[in-house]
Amino acid sequence: MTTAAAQRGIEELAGRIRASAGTNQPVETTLATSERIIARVTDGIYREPWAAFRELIANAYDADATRVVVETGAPDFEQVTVRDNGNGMSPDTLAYVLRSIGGSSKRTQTGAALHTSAVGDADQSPGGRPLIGKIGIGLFAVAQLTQHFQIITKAKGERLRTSATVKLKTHDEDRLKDSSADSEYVAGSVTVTSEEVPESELQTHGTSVVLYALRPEIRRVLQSMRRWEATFAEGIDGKPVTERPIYHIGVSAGVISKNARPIDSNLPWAESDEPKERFEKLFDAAARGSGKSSKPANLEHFDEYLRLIWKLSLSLPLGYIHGHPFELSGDEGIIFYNVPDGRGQAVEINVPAGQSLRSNLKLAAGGSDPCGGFTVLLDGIELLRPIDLPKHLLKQSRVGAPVMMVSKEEAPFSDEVLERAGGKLSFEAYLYWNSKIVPKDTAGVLLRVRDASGTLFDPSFLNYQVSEQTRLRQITAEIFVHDGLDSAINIDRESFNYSHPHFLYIQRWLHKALRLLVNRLKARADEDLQRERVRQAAETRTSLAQSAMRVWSERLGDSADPPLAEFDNDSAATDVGGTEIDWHNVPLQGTAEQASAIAVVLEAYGVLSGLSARNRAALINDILRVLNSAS
Amino acid sequence: MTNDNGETDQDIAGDVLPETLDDTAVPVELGELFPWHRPRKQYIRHFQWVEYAKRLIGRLCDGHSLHTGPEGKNEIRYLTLPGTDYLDVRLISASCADKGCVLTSTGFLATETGNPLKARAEVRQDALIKAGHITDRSYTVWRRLEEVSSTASNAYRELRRRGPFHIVNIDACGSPAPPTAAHAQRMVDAIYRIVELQLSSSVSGWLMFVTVDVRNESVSAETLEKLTNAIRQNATESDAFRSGFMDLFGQEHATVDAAIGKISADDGEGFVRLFSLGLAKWMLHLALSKQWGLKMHSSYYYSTSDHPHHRPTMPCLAFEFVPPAPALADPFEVTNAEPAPGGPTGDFSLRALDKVKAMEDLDAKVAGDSELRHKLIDQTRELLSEAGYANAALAKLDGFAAVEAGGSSS
Repeated sequence: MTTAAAQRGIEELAGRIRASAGTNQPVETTLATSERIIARVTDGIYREPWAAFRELIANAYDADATRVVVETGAPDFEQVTVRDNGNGMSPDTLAYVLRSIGGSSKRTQTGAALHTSAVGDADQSPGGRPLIGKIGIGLFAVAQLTQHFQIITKAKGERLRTSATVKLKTHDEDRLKDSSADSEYVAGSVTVTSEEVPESELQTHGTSVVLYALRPEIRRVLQSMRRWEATFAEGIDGKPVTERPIYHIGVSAGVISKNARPIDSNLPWAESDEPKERFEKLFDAAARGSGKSSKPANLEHFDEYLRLIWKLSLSLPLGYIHGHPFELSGDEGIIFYNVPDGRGQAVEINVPAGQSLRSNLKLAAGGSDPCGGFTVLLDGIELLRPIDLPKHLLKQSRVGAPVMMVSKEEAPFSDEVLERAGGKLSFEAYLYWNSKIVPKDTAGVLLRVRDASGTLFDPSFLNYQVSEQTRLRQITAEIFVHDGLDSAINIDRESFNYSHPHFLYIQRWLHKALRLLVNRLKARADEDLQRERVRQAAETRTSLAQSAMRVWSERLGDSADPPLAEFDNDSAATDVGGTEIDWHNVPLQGTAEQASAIAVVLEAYGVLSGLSARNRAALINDILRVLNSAS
Repeated sequence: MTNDNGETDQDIAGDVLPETLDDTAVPVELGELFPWHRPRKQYIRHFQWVEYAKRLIGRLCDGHSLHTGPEGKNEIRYLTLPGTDYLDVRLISASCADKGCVLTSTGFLATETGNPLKARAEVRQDALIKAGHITDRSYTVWRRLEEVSSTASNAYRELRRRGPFHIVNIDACGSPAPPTAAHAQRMVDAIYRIVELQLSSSVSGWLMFVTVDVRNESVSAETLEKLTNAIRQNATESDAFRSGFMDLFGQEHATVDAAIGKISADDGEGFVRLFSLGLAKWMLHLALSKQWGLKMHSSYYYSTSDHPHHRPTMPCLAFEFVPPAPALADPFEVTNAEPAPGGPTGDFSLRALDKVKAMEDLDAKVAGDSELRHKLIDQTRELLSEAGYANAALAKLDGFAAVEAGGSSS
């Protein structure tokens, strides 16, 4: 709405409110939002620098890029480049982006015209990916990092390559105070240049964002400056306040203090390693942890730079380091369960050997990318999701094998309540249990909306209040939301609106699934315990029988006939070497095996023969009573 | 007011502010021509850099010693000072494409360039990447190449991360060793560091092109003296070398020492040739210390001097580092097998002497050949047009034709 039109609308509504006093008729209107809030956004709304990188890369994903190359300029972080081979922007699209901050064309009908959304499905990118972005502030995530950046972009078939250089202003509420509520807020200035490309470059496409002069504080964060300073500070015990990170990018000379010597990097990979190998070594280093089991799972043996890589890898729509969880198949040693709709317990899923979970349960998450894949290279490291679900137990457990609960859900909101519910909600999820989760940092639940996440692993499982601390540390869960929940993500993508029906539904569903999983784990452990008891009993029986028979042979010779045909579990022997024992009239006081074994030993000494059948049973009972009371 | 750390409130206030912005990164217009757009420079690009690059790439492809990149093609790694035009990068990339390879370029550009020029360079590099001329692993390091001299520097870190390189092109406009520079971050120090790194990590032959400004007043006498020590030593040990040297430099002088002393104090062609031979001999010694060889290739010189008399100042040198022989010595003669053939052969010193002797004066060459001059201008026009230069700028190329026909040094 234009400023003038907005003003007219306000005046008209005010007139109707006044008039209602005379008519006693209520005034109906719709709530409208002011664009002023967007002004705040352009100055940065994210808590950590990695989020800005995430937004830039997510933009590339939405533009159908198959490859993004990020150069951070580590360890100085003076200049950052994010280069993608996505659709790029025509001058029309760029103009829209620059003049419509917070009013993304994505997920609207305008998107199709500007080639930011698919024709016929505004929710998808032109290439068919579910769009991550929706508000149109992703680009301004860079404001967190710098106030000076350049966008170089070109759309396929477009004759012009465009460079837009943006200079942002520092947000100032006082400046806003002086302007009218609906006046346009100028977030900064842009200088756009464009030039014709030669015929041979007509089909080239993609966008690059160059961030000049990163904010000093952001550079200090990325350089882990506070951590390093703390390592040089001594506490009252004379020890450093903080330990040095084990793995780090190093620090240039003169950064910590004017005359400070450089600190050489200690990265988990070698310079000669390929991009994927580098990430695998980073993963291994994370899995190894700090070497101190008491330390919490916060990757504190990494510096900020490595943690940035880690967080980006968890959050972006990337391939998994060792394959998608839904690619696990039935013959790999993992026990699969469903999450029932109703009240019953989870039921084991029989996935045939060689068939993947995805194929068996017709799951969509992690399926083939419509654009042919998405690779992100950051400073020569290929980012992959650092989540690995081992097919064997990492520590001995009564559960016997890793357990994975898998489900495909659609919230049963009827058409009548769909509007109240905030629309349709469907998702797929797994909860994976192992006796140990490695890296520790991946214990918890991670929500992916359209395959992207800003919240990372939540070890509280969306505030699960039941005391299952040990079990919760043994569970990795991911929820892949296909429809819905988008509206419940707060503007910074790093938290949820906890009162939104979609969030509440997922939270309740997750807690139910956790209860069911823990029940199944307990049941499996109980079954194992039961089996062990049965096995131990059998071993005891065998041992009793063997001992008694040894006495028999020693007393009567190896060639003597056995005293009884077999040791029966259920009933004590009534005939031992031809001597009858009356168990009909004397109730047995111990186990049948014990009674039979004692009878054999007594008869081997000829003790029973002199007694009546009834007293024989009574004697055995008395011995049993003494023995059992002693034990 | 200060806190416990001796930090003043003013320090804190300074730290929390965003960077000041002196010049906005709006790409400069491509309306002006520069000395590197002159035909003689195109000659170097075409007949030296591209020519030897082509030969090396062919050999590397045939030898199956190249690494395959994610594009599924053999990758050539190129270290350069690309300026804002990346003209050398564009040409070398074409040579790679001809051989079915891809080029990954690592450029060094000093930050003093200023943001508008940086922004222009970013646009140009981006265009080359998007057009597939170079891989998306190509990168420009916004630092002076000289910074790689320090192993503690981030420039060196970048070099290690992105190397080793198949082609190193140091096309510098300054002196390799200014007389006033007592520090260890001169171009000659950078050359040393690059050669050191390359020899420790390369597994195949590689090229190094060196173009520097060499004139009596711009090169440290001490450094030149040390460079020429390698010549003196060679002349002492080899009659053929001494004779060749005297033939080239100083039949009128009694000794090699006297010839070197006279030429070092002089300027122009002799000075350029002496520096070139000294550099070649020094690099040959560096190579030999790691069992590598060094072949000097056809080299040239031209003048950037505004001295009224034509005075060559810029040697354009081409070197090829030849990897050590695969042959393995068997001191106890256990094996009946012969050591593998291959490795450096020939007398590299005499070859260097020959190549220095054969260095051509490009100004004279271009001035004396109108057809060549116009061909070079046409090639430059094509390159600059692709790089986005405005027609008005391209029209000025013809002005170069007139200048170079007169052999002017402007």
